[in-house]
Amino acid sequence: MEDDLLTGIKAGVVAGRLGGMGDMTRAALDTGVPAADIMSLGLIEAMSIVGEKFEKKEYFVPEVLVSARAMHESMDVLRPLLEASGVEPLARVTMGTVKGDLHDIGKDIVSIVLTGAGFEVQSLGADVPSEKFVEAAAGGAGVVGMSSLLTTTRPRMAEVIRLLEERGLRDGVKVIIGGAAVTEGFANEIGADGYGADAAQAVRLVKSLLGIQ
Amino acid sequence: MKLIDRLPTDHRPVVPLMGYPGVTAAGRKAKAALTEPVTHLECMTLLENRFRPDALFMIMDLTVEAEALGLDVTFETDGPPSVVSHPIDDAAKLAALKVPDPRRSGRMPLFLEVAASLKGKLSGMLGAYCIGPFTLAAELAGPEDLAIKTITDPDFAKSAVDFSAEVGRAYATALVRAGADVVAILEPTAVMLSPATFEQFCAEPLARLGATVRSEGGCPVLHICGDSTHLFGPMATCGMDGLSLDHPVDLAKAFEAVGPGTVVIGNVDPVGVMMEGDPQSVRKASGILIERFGDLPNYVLGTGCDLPGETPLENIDALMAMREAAGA
Repeated sequence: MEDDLLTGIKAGVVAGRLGGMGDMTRAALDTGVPAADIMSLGLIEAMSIVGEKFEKKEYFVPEVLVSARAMHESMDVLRPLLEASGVEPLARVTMGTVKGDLHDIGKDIVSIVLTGAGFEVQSLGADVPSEKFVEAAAGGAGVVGMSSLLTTTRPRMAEVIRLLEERGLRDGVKVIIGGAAVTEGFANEIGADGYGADAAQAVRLVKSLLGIQ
Repeated sequence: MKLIDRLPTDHRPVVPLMGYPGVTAAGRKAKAALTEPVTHLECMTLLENRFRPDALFMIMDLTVEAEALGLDVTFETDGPPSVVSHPIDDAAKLAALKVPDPRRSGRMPLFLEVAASLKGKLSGMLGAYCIGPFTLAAELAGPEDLAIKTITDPDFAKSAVDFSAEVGRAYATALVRAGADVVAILEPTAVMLSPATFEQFCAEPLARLGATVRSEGGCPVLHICGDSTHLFGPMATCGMDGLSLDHPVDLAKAFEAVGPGTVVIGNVDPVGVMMEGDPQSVRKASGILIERFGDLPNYVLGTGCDLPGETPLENIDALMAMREAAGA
């Protein structure tokens, strides 16, 4: 019964079944499945499968977004319980698109795939003032990820790195960048820790920077 | 006449998408060039005089149609403008929208005026842009919401894309009548779709838009940014005169997909090579493309996407010089 419920939650997220995930999650909790197990064996495993399907081009952005929405229906039920129990994620990653740039989807896909890899992702959204990235680093984010799709906004990335240095926060955080306006060369030029061309690369990059696996 | 029959035969055709470098070279702001016809024209004249490309495209602006439909637009970054919010999130709001009259809606008249001013005055063809139906629908409804609705509310998604195609048809018709020879249909947001979803939502509306451009006497070209390799099959069925493709794709696969009557334009890396590189790196990158595809009569050397305003003009000179390179 417990296994069936966990399998159902996992399958529901992979298939992007919206509307019933909260009830399924509550039913699993009622039968005694710990919230942390639903999180790790249900949701994270499901998003890991979604990430693999995305990399293999079986899933595309719409399918990934719908799975993520299904995951969030379940997460909304779990979050208060997980916070109370103090379960630690692999690391916290803060993601955002830099100030002036309104493109959301690319960095959201990276966030979703990172979630599937076991990271806690804090999304700052798009058009994010540089100061917000710095606050996230000060608040304990292990990785700051920035996206830019317009070359006119990419100087903001260098600005964030400069602000991190000025506040003495640079050594405690890994800075990664991505988006159509940036390149590996630009990452090196501004002193970022790495560049990811797509979501799969971004996950590999974060893991290698944090020495995971 | 199809695009392939309009290409020059005495040299290799080269068509960079260089509106924003033109704005920079003229010492102007993007907002001025996209709100004042005389400034837009000044940038175009500068580009024509310096480069004489085989097609001169106007300055790219993916907000024109959305703004004509009443959405708010920002010019904050002095690069391409952006739509600020995406309020058309249900069928009732969508149904309340009317196809705008291009002669009197938003900044559409500016592009018509610039096209009319340039008509007959260029050494090559005049290129205009028109937003693709899926991309406009994403501006209206929000890209993530529209993506999700292709699965959860396909009727809404289909209606939004169909309506957007009608907006495109009205605007593209006006652009061709004003003087545009080529209309590049910009469909960047569709890159995120699976081939099946593209077929379901985009293929027919794009084909309808392309057919309208052709019936007016213009050449329809489909441009999708990013790695669109998985979509080459359905893109080839849209009846376009050409595909303009971005730097992550291998053009060889595009040539296989389209056949010899369709032009393939591309695909020097706009940021990594054209903006960050020097003339030597431009010669190297375009030399590789010419070595691979230079003998194909349906190949046009171009940039993978719109060039950033920070692109050095000498790099564009180096690209244009490939017109006369060996094998031409």
